[in-house]
Amino acid sequence: MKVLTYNIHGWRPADPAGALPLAALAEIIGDAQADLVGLNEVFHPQPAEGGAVLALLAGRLGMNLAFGPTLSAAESPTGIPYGNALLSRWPIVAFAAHHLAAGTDGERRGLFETRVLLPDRRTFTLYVTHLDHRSEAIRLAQWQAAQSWLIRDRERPHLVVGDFNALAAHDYPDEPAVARLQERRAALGWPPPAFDLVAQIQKAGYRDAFALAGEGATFPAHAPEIRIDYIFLPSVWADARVRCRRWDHPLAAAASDHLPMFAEFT
Amino acid sequence: MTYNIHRWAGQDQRVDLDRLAEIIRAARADIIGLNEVLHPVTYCGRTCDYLGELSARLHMASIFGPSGWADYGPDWYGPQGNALLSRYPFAEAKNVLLPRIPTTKQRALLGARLTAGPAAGLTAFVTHLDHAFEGTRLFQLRGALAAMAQHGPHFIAGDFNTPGFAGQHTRRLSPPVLRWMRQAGYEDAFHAMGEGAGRTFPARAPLFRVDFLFFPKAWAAGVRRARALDAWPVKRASDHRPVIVEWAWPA
Repeated sequence: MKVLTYNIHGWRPADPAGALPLAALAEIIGDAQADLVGLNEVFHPQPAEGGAVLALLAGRLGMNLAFGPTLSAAESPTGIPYGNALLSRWPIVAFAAHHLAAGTDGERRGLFETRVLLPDRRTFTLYVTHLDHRSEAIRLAQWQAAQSWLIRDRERPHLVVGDFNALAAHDYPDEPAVARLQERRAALGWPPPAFDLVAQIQKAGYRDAFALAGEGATFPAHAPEIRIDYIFLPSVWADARVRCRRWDHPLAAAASDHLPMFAEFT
Repeated sequence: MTYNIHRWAGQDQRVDLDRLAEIIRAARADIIGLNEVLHPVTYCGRTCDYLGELSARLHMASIFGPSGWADYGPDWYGPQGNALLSRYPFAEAKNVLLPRIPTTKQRALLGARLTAGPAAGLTAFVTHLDHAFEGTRLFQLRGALAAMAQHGPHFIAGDFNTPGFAGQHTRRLSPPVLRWMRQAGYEDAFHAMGEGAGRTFPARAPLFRVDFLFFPKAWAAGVRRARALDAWPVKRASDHRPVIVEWAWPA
């Protein structure tokens, strides 16, 4: 099974003056030959020539699509429903858009639960999420809410993918690495780094596919420094063989502010 | 009242119809939706009509709506589904099989209209949605809503298996199943008039509110009280606690 997770930055290319990057996204995602693609920051139906962009993208890729809004048309800044989405090579049999708490005055986030029918007639659940970008405390509260859904799948193979907006302590294995991160954040005027969320996710039995087999930061796309997009495997999948890497593609730096993350499980 | 009775088995692994009857009697429930009813149940080689015995003890009418066959080992099997008990007579009972996703269990919606008593004319529905996955529940709910649409005065009770959040960060969030119910014009009786936290599962020290009773908005004004029972027998009688709602025709 090949899985891609990609924050597509609301269909906005890295260059604000650029055109809607439908062709580039189709090529980036298509070249990965992924079976399941989790997308964050999706406006749908975003009108374009010939239909809604997400539907056009799915059409070009020959994949099925499902959309899980976190903001309705009335709540969305552009008047178009906004949230997470799934592209799947396999039939999508059911899906549900869970809401995650926003914290005070924040933006509501989501956990998009999707179930696909595998060729062997078993079903498989992929969760696509995008957590708060401002505060580790809010992300922890959102993870807690997400857990009340995920816990029911703890005995079943599933994956949790998306933009967690969080740093992993294992990406900064020694003190100089942590010191460099702290300096960099201080220079940007950002709060000191927190590693609690990924630690909590691991405590819940999930393993970071990338930590098992991978390399490469994902954000920002033009000169990636940090890795905040993850593919998490549940403990029940302990025997899976994993390959995981940042999906580098010549078009990726221009198509979004994030790079996609790719993993293959056997 | 809505009550998931855990295939007749208490937390102590005993079948105790007296205990179930006492819980229902003490709550003075008039109409009860039951989930996880095996009827008839074959237990250690004997086939028993527990539903008939329970309704006889309560002097109530009962109907059963099977959703499939359940097999919990050689000593515990039979048709499984939902049931309705009522102090007043029923008519027009119907059991609707809900849409089913491959690899998931068949679920059903059971309904019947009360023909006498203070709630005559009201139709009671009971259902039990998928335990594992919200997307499956939405798929099933679509069928249940279609079957109930354009129905006269009615309510739907049951184990919806979706958590009604109560936490500090989650109180204002509704899971998709509850959002759909609201969009379809239903009001959660506990949300409207609930007392306490309303948690129903797991029975011993409940964390989640997964058992609900909904009325269409037009009739929800008649909800007077709603609460999850917490007297001691409910901790052992099943893995869920029952929810009781008091309702009268709105003025």
